[in-house]
Parts: sequence; C-alpha cells; structure tokens
Amino acid sequence: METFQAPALNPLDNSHAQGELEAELKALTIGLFEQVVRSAERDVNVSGSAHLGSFDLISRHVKRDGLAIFHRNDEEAMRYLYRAWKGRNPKRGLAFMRLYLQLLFPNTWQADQLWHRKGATYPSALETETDITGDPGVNYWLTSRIKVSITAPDLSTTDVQRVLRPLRSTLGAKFVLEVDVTSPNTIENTSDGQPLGLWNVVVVERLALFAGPLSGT
Amino acid sequence: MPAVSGWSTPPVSFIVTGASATALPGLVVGYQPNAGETYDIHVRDCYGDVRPDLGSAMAFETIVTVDDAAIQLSFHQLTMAGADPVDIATLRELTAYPSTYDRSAVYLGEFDFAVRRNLTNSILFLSVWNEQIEESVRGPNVNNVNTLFVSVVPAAGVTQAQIEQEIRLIVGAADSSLKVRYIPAVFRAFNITVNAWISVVHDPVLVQAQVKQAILSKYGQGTVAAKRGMTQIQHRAVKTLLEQQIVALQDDGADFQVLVGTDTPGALPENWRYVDANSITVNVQTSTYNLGNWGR
Repeated sequence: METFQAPALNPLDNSHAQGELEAELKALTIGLFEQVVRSAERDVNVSGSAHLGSFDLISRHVKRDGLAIFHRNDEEAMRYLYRAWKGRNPKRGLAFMRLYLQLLFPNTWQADQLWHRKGATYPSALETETDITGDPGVNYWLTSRIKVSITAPDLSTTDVQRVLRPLRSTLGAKFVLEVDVTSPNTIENTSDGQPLGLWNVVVVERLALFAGPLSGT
Repeated sequence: MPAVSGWSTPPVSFIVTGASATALPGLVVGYQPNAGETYDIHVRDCYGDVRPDLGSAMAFETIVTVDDAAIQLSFHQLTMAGADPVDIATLRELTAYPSTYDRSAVYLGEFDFAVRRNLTNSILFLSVWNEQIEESVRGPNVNNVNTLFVSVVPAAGVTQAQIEQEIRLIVGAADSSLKVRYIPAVFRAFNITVNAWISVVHDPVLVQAQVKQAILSKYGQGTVAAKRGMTQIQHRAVKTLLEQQIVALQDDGADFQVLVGTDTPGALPENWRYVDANSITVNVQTSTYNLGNWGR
C-alpha cells in the first residue's frame, strides 16, 4: 500500500508572477508553507484515514482504536493491519488473528482451535484437529482454547509476553490463548568460534494478566 | 402504559373501569375489574431517581372516569430504583470508546462496555472478565469454558438479584452463547502516599486535608474510577489532579511526589478497588530548600 506523496503547491507555482516582487512573494509563500505547515498539514489531511499518514499518526490511532500491534519495524504491515482492523474486521473467530500473524510473521505461524478428549481432566488432553485421526467429534469436544505457534528468528524469549497481549486483543472474549514461540538460540561454540544455531528452544507462556497495571483510570 | 399483571390467569394487560361490558357489549376494550379485586401493577419507567417509601399512597397520572378515583393504589415494592441523568464524569467514561466500536460485543472490553453503559447509575462496581483471565488467577477448570465472569456491587436501592438479572439479559442480548457466572466483589484498598513540600504561607494541616479530599473525590467509593475492575491508578492522573486543585502545590517552590501502591501479586479481577480515608497517607512539610529565592 502506497502512502500519499505530499503534493507540491503546483497551482501556485505555475501561476503567473507579475514582476520581481510577486515572484519573490510566491517563492516565500511556497517556502514557508513547505517549511512550517506541510508536516502538520499531511497528518491533518489524512486523519480520517490514518493508515495513509505518518508513523506517529498511525501509532496514535492504533492505540486509540483498541488495537495493540507488536512493533516489528514493519511500517507497511502496521498500516495494512490498521486498515483491516477499521474496515473489514469480522471480529468473530480467528480470521483477524490469522491476518495479523501472516502480516507480522509471514508463513512461520500456525493457529488452531484445540479439541479435548472426552473424559480426560481438562486441560490435560488437548489436540489440534489435524492431530486427531478420523472425526474429532467422536472422542473429542471443541474447547475455546487457541494455540498459536510462531517460529521467528528475531524473537527472543522475552518477546513472548510482548506478542501475547496484541494477539489477545484480536480474539473474542470467550477464547483462551496460548502462544509458543520457537526461536533459534545462537550459542557460540567455544572450540572453533562458530555460532551454533539451535531451533528447538520453545517458550510456552499463558497470558499472565496480573503481571502489571492493566489500564489506567 | 405500565404493564399490569393480575392474579387471574392469564395476566391482563389492559384494565378499564367505569364501563360495563354488559351495557355496551362488544364496545369495551380490556378487562372490567370487579369490586374488591387486587392487582399488582409493575411500573417499568420513571423519570429520575424516584424512591417512594413502602406503603405510600400512589395515584394515576390521569383520571378518566369517576370510578377511577375509587381505586386504591399503594406502593408495595421497589425492585429497581430509577436513575437521574448521568453526570459529566460518567458521560466522559461512556463516550470514551474506540471509533471501531459498533455496539456489537465480541471482545472482552465490549462486553464490559455494553453492561456498564446500560447500568451506569445502578452500579457501584462492575468487573467483567473471561475464561482466560479467570484461568490466570485460579487455574483451568472445565466449567469455565464459554463463561463470562461478572462481579458487581449494586448502587443503593437496587437489589443484587435484580442487577444480576439485568446483566444476564444484557449479556444474553449481546451474545447468547455465553454463560454468566457471578463472583462476589472483594474490597481491596488502593494505597496512595503523597509527599509534599510547600511554602510556609500555607498551613500544612489544611493542605493535607485538601489533598485527601481531592484524591477521595476522584478515587473514592462511588466515583467513576472505582466502578471499574482490574485497574491501576495512574501516577500521572493523580499528579494532574493535585496540580489542578491544590493551590499550595502550584507555585514554583512547591514540590510533591505521588506513590501509588502496586500490590499486584494476589490481585483478583473481582477486587473492588478504591481509595478510602485510611489508605491515603499525606506527608506535608514546609519547604526548606531554595532559601535564596524571593518569597520563601
């Protein structure tokens, strides 16, 4: 998605200047406008469709409109996501969360609603639908738990909490979210100094909602 | 037209007195009561916070026939008091929602808002949470699946049973696929400490009382802030409040510090948190620094 390029003051620039004084006045007006007014004007101009505005504008709107976005230095994804949140958000189900994951962690995520074996103690026997052979409805019941697995090389273990909250904000009230983050933990091999990539460090965290202030009053 | 239900079966909804069905066959609409019959009349709408005493005499708004005056009306039971128009602080709270909110409750905050908006004057405290939050404080339980948890303290004049019934209706209208479970609210004080250094012009005792009063009027019981669950008082909000309201803290020589207790371990979503007179500590000293400046 392209942001709007700030237009130049072409109509004024192309208009006829009668004499040197008028030419100087024209140049001064254009110069002052570009220097003083333009940056603020861009944001005001697109404040009704903030995804076209500056990064400051969009982050302000994102916060105000109740969407938490995990910051990944990907401005385009943030713009797209914000637009989707405002415009075509079906709210129910996992549709929006899947879009969110695909934008921020392209093709390295999986999200499933979990089934639970009938008769077993909840939540000890959770399975995804693909893990169950045959019709899951026979021996399993559908829970409200959602399991998200993300494999991201640039996510450290401390980022898990930062991913959880934004993802939670895209899910309906009845769901329970669990997130796995698999990230490579680079350990320096002391013998030859070559880094050794490990891809099996899995961090599972449930949302600890009372870890800090929830909202201010 | 108030709904009327009689003891007869089925409940009648329209009573006409003073016209005889035998004298005017087919022309009388509604039910003709006989002398001595007793009815319960339920009034569902009123203007403002009306709370008549039990047993007080009532009257119809208009009397059409002479026979209407023979009806004796008295006030029998108050199930839910009416409500005055909301004040500005509440209006601010009720209008602070995201531009994407479309009165369709799906996310957790939208359920909270749906209930709060409808019952704002009937509650002293309301907290709405879901299975995820419940699980984070009390562990998983199969009975929590598809449940919305509500903790509510009704305002004076509203019974707990009545408010719970109302909330069940509101949540049911928003999303009928959820169960509602009520958890009793538990009071938990917010501890606030304010340390202030003021000019000798002001009386420290008086300033201490002013600070306490300002904080209580914003975070005490019954305030908008105390009606929410799962919240933490912002330092910034308290600072702004004191800067605006306490004259002694406004001059250049004055300084103050706000410490809000963050006893989050052990906090529960049903904690009804507000500041009471015992949980505020205000220490006011006359400033002894900046001695070289004028006026100190």
